[in-house]
Amino acid sequence: MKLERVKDWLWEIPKTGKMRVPGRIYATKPLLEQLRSEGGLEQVANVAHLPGIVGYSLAMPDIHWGYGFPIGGVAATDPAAGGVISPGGVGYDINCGVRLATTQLQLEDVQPKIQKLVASMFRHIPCGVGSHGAVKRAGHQEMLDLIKNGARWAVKRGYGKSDDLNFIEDGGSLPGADPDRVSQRAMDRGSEQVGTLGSGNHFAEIEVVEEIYHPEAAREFGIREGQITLMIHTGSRGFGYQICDDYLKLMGRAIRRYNIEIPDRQLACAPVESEEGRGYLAAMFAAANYAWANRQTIMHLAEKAFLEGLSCHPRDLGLSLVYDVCHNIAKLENHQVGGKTRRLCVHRKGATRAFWPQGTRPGRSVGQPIIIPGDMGSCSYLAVGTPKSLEETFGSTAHGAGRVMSRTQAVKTFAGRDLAAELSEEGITVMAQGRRTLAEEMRGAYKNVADVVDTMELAGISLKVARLRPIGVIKG
Amino acid sequence: MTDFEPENDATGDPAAGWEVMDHTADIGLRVWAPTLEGLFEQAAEGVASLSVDITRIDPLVQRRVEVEGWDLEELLVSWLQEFLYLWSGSGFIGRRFQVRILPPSKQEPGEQDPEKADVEKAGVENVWRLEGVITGEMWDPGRHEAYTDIKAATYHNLKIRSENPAGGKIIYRVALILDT
Repeated sequence: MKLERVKDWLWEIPKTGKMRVPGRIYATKPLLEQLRSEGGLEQVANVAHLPGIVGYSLAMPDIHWGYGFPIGGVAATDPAAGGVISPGGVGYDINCGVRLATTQLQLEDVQPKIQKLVASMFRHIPCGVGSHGAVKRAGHQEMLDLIKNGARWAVKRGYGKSDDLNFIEDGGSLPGADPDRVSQRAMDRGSEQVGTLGSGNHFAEIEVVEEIYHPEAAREFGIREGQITLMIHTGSRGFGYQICDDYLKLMGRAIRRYNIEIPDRQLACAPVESEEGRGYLAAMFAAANYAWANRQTIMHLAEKAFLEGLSCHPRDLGLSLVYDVCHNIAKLENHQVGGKTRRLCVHRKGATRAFWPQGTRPGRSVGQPIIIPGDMGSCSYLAVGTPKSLEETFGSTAHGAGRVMSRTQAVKTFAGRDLAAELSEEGITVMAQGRRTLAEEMRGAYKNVADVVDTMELAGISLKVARLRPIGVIKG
Repeated sequence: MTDFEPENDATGDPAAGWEVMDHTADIGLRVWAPTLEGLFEQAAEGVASLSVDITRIDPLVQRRVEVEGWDLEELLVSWLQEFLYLWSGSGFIGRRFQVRILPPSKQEPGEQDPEKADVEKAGVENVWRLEGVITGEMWDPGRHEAYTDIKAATYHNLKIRSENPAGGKIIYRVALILDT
């Protein structure tokens, strides 16, 4: 694959063949070297074939080989110019995302009781295969309400407070979600799984703020050194998988109807302004709302776990949401292109919105909070959006560390080691439902998240606010 | 669906099998078999084996499934999604798979040409159908160990191919990327 250097941190795949736009990858040279051997770059070029794509097919520094879109891929299409929407550009776990909450606790309040706290989290938050909701199964009417209202549904049920909604991307609910566009099978799968973490790379984590890089933003977000925070990473569970699956099948037929040529079937798509496109948007928004309801519910379960595990009062805990971002989604957003405002369909497949200054609390003078989790052994980052992200990346930045080792390779590499004991020696208490999950998600299986975050800072797209170190983790 | 006798189980036959391919983000599965049915059965066994330790699953209960697809690739994805739905949706985990594939009325297996197909006229008679029996039991966390949580079988570069080496037996092959 031919690559041209634009800047030290930006590389371009020139437009060739049936590519409609060039590809652009944000990566420093060392990160790029890690990429060369796999299919991620080819996937950036494949995405550039989508009808109506605007500007560039973009990839963030955590890019790695996915299916259809690369993970870390961003693509904006213009519906008014025949632009398409592709379920593969969102992924199966629709609105997979991360939320970060602060507490009033300091490291010394939690450290001595960390084992008890992690065990309490593991008890309160269902995770792993076959886990069902810790909350009552959602009946049909409940599901209709949940699909429409997202995180608002959870708050109405007493899970968290209404102020939380001000600190969730899109207020935790996208209008236009339509249950009539969702299959019965998706409804069945969804009703069982509200308030469950799932498996794979999903987690709930207790962290300590280790370093502040941007004091002004940290103050605005209520972050200070030594403070205990809570991070939750999960998505729309089987509800989202089923919707993606249903619509991939439909889009596979739509590409023939609309004579769309794509280099990979997983990129199947339809014009945003078509029956199939509108149907998918309405169903995908339903799954996005489900994911927000799920994360809001899990934060409530985590609060219960904190109160029980530490035997403290809600006032002393002071759990307060910093922000909740999605990193697998497509949304209709206004962006400036060539001096004109255009309404675009922005796909973020393993990429985080990084707006400035919209999407933040009224009165805030800094950009949108961005949460970038690392692997469970190292650290995660809180960052903030900049005006440049709107100029260059349709208001998008990285979403995580990005894998460098396959799951099977990781399982082989870490075979025979007691990973929980190793992490415990480093001050990280871990409880996981499946033994393999720990090996699959171990440090070394991922890029160094610091390199990813630093690349975006170098490019001026997002700025670091704080580094967070895990001290307790639960996983599926 | 009518009852049918399972074909000879392809498991253990070196002419049929599956193996894991390395894929950074997800899991790749390479599958081969001398028949299309065998290919579908092996693929399901591969997905099941990545999901749980299937040697500890007892073949106690049978579930019958019927799926359809516009072409063989869609049929394969639909079949595997059906397995995953039973698994993650209801906790039923299969370890034995028997498949019968019914081609569209005017086609023979291996003669599909989706490019020429007219979607607007797609009717019941124009789709591939699969009737399958999955044998296994309900998930018991006390006895069964879960491995990797597979979300879906993807269409990424998906193509079922058949090879017919000179003088040799026909062999069907497919490479699948599973989302984890």
